Amino acid sequence: MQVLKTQGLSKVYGAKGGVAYHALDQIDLSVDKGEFVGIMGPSGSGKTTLLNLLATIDKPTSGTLEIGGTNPVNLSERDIALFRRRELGFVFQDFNLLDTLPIKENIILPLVLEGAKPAVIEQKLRPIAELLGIQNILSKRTYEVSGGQKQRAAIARAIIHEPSLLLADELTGNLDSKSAKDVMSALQDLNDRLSATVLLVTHDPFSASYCKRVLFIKDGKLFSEIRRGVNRQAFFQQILDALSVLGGNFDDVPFARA
Amino acid sequence: MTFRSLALSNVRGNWRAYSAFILSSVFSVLIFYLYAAFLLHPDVQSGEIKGALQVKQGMLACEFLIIVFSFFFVLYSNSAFMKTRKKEFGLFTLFGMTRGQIRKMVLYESASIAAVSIAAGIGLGMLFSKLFFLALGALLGSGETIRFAVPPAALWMTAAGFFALFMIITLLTLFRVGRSEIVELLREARKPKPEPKLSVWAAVLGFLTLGGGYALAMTMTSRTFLVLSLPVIGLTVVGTYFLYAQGSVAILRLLMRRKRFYYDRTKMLTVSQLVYKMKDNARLLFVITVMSAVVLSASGTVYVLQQLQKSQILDHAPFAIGFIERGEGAHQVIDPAEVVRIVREEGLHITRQQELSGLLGEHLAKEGSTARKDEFDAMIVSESDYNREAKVLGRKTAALAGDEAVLILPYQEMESYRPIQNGAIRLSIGNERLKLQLTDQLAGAVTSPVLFATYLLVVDDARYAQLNASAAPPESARQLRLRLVRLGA
Repeated sequence: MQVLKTQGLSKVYGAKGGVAYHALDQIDLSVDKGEFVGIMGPSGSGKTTLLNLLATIDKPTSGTLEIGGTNPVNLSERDIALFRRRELGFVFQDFNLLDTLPIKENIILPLVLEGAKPAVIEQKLRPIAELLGIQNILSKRTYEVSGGQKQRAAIARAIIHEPSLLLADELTGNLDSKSAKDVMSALQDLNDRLSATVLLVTHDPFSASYCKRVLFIKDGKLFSEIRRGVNRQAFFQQILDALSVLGGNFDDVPFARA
Repeated sequence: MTFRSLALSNVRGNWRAYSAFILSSVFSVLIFYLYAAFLLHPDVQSGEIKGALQVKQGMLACEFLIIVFSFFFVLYSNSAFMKTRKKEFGLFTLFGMTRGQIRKMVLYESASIAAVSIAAGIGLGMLFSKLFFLALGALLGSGETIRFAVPPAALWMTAAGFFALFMIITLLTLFRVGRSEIVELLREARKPKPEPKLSVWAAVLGFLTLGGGYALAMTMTSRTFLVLSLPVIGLTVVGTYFLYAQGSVAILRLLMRRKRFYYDRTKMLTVSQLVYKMKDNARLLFVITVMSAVVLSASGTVYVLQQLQKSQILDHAPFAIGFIERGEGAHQVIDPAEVVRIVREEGLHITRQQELSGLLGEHLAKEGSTARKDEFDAMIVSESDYNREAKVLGRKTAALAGDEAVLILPYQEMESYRPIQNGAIRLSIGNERLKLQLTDQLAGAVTSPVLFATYLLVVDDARYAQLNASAAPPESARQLRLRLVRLGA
C-alpha cells in the first residue's frame, strides 16, 4: 500500500522579476507502508524544500502530492491542520519540545488536540514509552533530561497518534554518537514492530545506514537510490561510496561517527 | 490534560515572561480600585465627607485616564509578548492545531491572566484602601476619618471594566495570531536579531524636536498657549520616541568606542547586550513615558483648574450672599434677619456680615460724550467706607479730595480693560447732574458685584455727605443699602 506518492513535484523560488531558482525539479517518489526511507544530498540540494512540501507547510509550484490517499494541496486551511494532526508526525533536529509542559504532556499533545479521552491517551502512551525506553522520565521537565531522551520523547510525540507518515529532519544532528545510536535503534524498532512509515532527511551516513532504502538528491533532482541488504555496516559503506560519487559539500554536519 | 490545562501550563511555564506584565496590570487594577472605592464610598456618596466633592471630579477623570493608559499598556505588552511566542505558535500549527484552537488557547490564557491580575489587584486594593482613605482625609483637611468600606459597586466596576479591557485586547491580538504561514513562524525564532543601527539623522531630529518642544514650552505665555500647545505636545512626543529609540543606542555606541572603558571585564557584555535590549524596550518606554505624562499633567491640570476656580470665585464674589435695598426702612428683598436664620438652619457658618450705604449714580460717562451706549450705572460710596472694606480684603485703598473720584472695577482681570478714560466725567443722581474728576480705576471687588453695585464710584467723605443730604426724601429712592454675608467652612 502506498503511503506517499509524488509525481513531477517541483518548487520554483523567486520567479517573479528575478531569476527563477529550481529548488526541486520533477521529483517522482513513492513510499509504501512500513518503509524506512532516507533522503540524502549535499547542502542546497533541495532536501529541506522536499520535506517542507511533504509536511504541507509549503506548497509545490507544480506536480501532485498524495499522502495516505489525499492531496493536501487542495485542502482548506482548517482541513490541512486536521490533516497534519492525523496523518503526519514530525521530528526535528532541535527537538522542539515545549518547555512549558512535562515530557508526558509533550508526548500526548496530538491526542489532546484531537480531544481523545484520558483513558485512551494513557492506553496509547504506555506501549510507545516502553518501546522507546522513556517510561521513567515521563514526569520530568524538558530541561531535566538528556538530548537523546528528548529526541526519543519527540519521536513518541510524532508517533502516538499513529500517523500515516513520520517525517524526521536531521534528528541526530544535535546528539552525541551514543545518543544518536540509541535514537536510531529506537526508530528502527518502531519501524519494525509497529510498521510505522518513516521518511528521514539527513546529512549523516550513520543515521542513513538504519534506513531500508536511501535516495540521493542533487540540484533538486533524484540522483540515485540504494537499498539495504542484511548488514548495516555494509550498507554504511555503500552510502559513503554513493556520497563520494554525488560530490558536493557535506561539511556542515560533521560525520565523525559510525 | 485538557485543552484548558494546556493553556494554564503555558501561563505557568511562561511565568517569567508574564510576571512583569501581570505585575503592571495588578498595579493598574489596584489604583483603579482605590479611586473607585473612594468615589463609591457610601459616606462620600451621601456627601457626609466634607471636601470630597472637590476631589471627586478630578478622581473621576483619573479613572478614565487609568483605563486609557492601561488599554495601551496592556495592548503593547500583549503584542510584544505574542511576538516572542511565534515559534511556539508555529509548532502548535505544525502539530495540527487549527487556527480556531490556537485562538481558543490564547483566549483561555488571557482570561486566566485577567482573572489573576484583577483578583490580586482588588485584593491589594482592599488591603491598602484604609491607608489611602487616611491619606485622603489628611489631604482634604476635613478632620474626619473615612471609615473602611468595600463598596460592591467599586468591586464589580473594577472587575468588569478590566475584564472587558483584557478581552477587547485579546480579541485584537487574536486577529493577528495565526495569520502568518508556519514557515515564517518557525523561521522567526531562528532569525538572528539585526544589530540596532544608529541613524545620525534620526538622533539629531530627536534632540531637535525634544529641545524645540521644551524651548517652545518655556517661552509660552497665556496669550500664545492656544497656538503653541499643540506643537509643543507633538514635538515632545516625537522627540521622546527618538530619544529612546536613537538616543539610548547612541550613548551606548559612544561607550563602546571608548575601548579602555569597554574592554574592562563584564562591561563589554553588559553594554553590548544593552544595545539590543534598549532597542527592544524603546517603544515600551516611550508608551509608558507618554502615558504617565498624560496622567500627571491631566491630574495636575484638574487640580490647578480647581484651585484657580476656587480662588477666582472668592476673588470675584468675596461675599457669598449680597442684595441691594433701595430707600429707607423697608426690606423690599428680604429681611436680613431672615437670611441669617436660613443660613444658620442650613448649618452654614457666617464669618462676616456687612452693610454698605451708597447712592445710585446713573448715566455715568465721559464729560462731553453724548452716546448713550457708553453710559453705565455705579454705586457711589464714601472713601472711608471703601477703604475699610479694601483693608479687610487686602486691596488697594483710595485717597481723594474735593471733586476727585475713583472707579472700582468688579474683576481683577479688568486691570487692562477700562470702561472709561480718566479725566472729567459726568453722572446724575436722580434729577441732579454733577461733574467729577476721575483720577484712578482700581480692579477687584471689595463687595460682591450685585446689580447697581457692580461698579463702585468712590468719592471724598465730605462730598459723599453732601450728595447723601441732597438725596434725602423725596429723593430717598436713590439711597442704596448693600447687605453682604460672607460664609466660611
